[in-house]
Amino acid sequence: MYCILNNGFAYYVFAIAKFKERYFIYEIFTIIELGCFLFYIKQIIKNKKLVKYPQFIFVIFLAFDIIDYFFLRQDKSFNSTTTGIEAVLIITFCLYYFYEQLKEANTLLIYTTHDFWIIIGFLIYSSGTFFLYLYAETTLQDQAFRRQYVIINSVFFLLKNILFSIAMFMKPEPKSEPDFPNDSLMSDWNNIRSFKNVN
Amino acid sequence: MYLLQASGNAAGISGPLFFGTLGMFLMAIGIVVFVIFHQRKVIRYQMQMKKLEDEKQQMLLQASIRFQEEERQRIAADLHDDAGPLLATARLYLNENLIHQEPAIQLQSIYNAKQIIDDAIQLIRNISHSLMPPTLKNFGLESAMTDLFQKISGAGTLNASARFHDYRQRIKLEQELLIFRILQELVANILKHSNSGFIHLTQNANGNKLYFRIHHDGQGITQAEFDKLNHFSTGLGLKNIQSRINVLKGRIFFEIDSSHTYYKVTIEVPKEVTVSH
Repeated sequence: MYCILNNGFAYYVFAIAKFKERYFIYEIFTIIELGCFLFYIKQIIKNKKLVKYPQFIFVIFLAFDIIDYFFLRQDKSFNSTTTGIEAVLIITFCLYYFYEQLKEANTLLIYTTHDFWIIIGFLIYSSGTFFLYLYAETTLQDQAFRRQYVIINSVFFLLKNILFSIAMFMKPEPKSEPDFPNDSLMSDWNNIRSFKNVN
Repeated sequence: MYLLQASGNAAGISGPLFFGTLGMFLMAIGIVVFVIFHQRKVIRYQMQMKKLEDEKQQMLLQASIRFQEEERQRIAADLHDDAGPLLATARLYLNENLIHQEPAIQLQSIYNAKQIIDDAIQLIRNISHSLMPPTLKNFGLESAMTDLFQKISGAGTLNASARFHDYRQRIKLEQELLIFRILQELVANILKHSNSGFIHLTQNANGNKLYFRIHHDGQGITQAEFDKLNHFSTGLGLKNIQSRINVLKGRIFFEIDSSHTYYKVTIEVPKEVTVSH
């Protein structure tokens, strides 16, 4: 249901942009997409020093997007530069998330967390469509390319949504700490008892 | 992918797009697989380390319990074998028939009973001192260690000295007792195994840490040997040292100097100063 709604909304937005030639909707879509991702990554990053960077990067990206749309780009039918930058930013933050997970002494397996599936959803979608978006600005008018665009984009979109769905339907994350902190005391007590019984 | 290749070849742009997309996709999958496997490996290693640490803790706990049991048995044996017969003998001298004896014999019996009771008092005092040395309790670690080293030196077989450089304020009595026991055990080991000609103890402080270092010129052990003996040996001495160090939240290092002429043992413990009333 989530996949259908998400895909339907995306196609609706692109249809408006294309047929009514309101290309600024692409920009708004890209900004919202990156904004949502950066907001999410801000919540899951554990390094307190880096927490302020997502909002800082978002402001710079927003400024660049406006300048690019109004002053730099001639053909406004597709925004390859900003979507390319967006993909690079998303991939970078995903890699940082993995780096943080590897660095952290955590006994919880990474794939048992919701965040992992959401992050690989973003990573795979951004990686898979990176070249597609780079080519799109110059060759979207080509019929054959448009067919490829639809297929590749749909495949990765679907993959992303499947991964998001896995994250949503996962059971709550298991607690890394025992429920009863007195367990260690009990085990010590049991050790003492077993030792006395042996002797 | 067949669709991509088929349609792409017709347009003539599909090669870079196809390989670029495939490359990026494989890279993403590769990163994810690497992260998962690397994390699994790290977790497995951490669990192994935790298991080893747990085993070590259990060994220390068992050693500590065994030591306590042995100590109790020793005290029980001292009381039963030495104090018991002494008091029983004194009782014999002071039986009911004493009043029917001649005064000279009465006096002699009372004198003998007094001697025996004095011996019993001395024996109980010795047992008590072995549990908590009075010098340590009344005058502190510095005096207790100096006293111990003077006694060792007084025996004449080796030269023993202790020097406290920065011990103006006493630490908690429980801490002092633990440190005293550790140093006592180390000195006992040196006397028993090292065949050394001198032992020297120095104390120093830095910030919130206290340092004790014992030098000796006999046959000692290094840190690796200590870890090995601590883990595999059945003896209690080193395990007790380690468990006391753990209680103190301190560290211990066994080293040999670069010239290989003497060994040193350094103990580092956090300072817990007594609150003066």
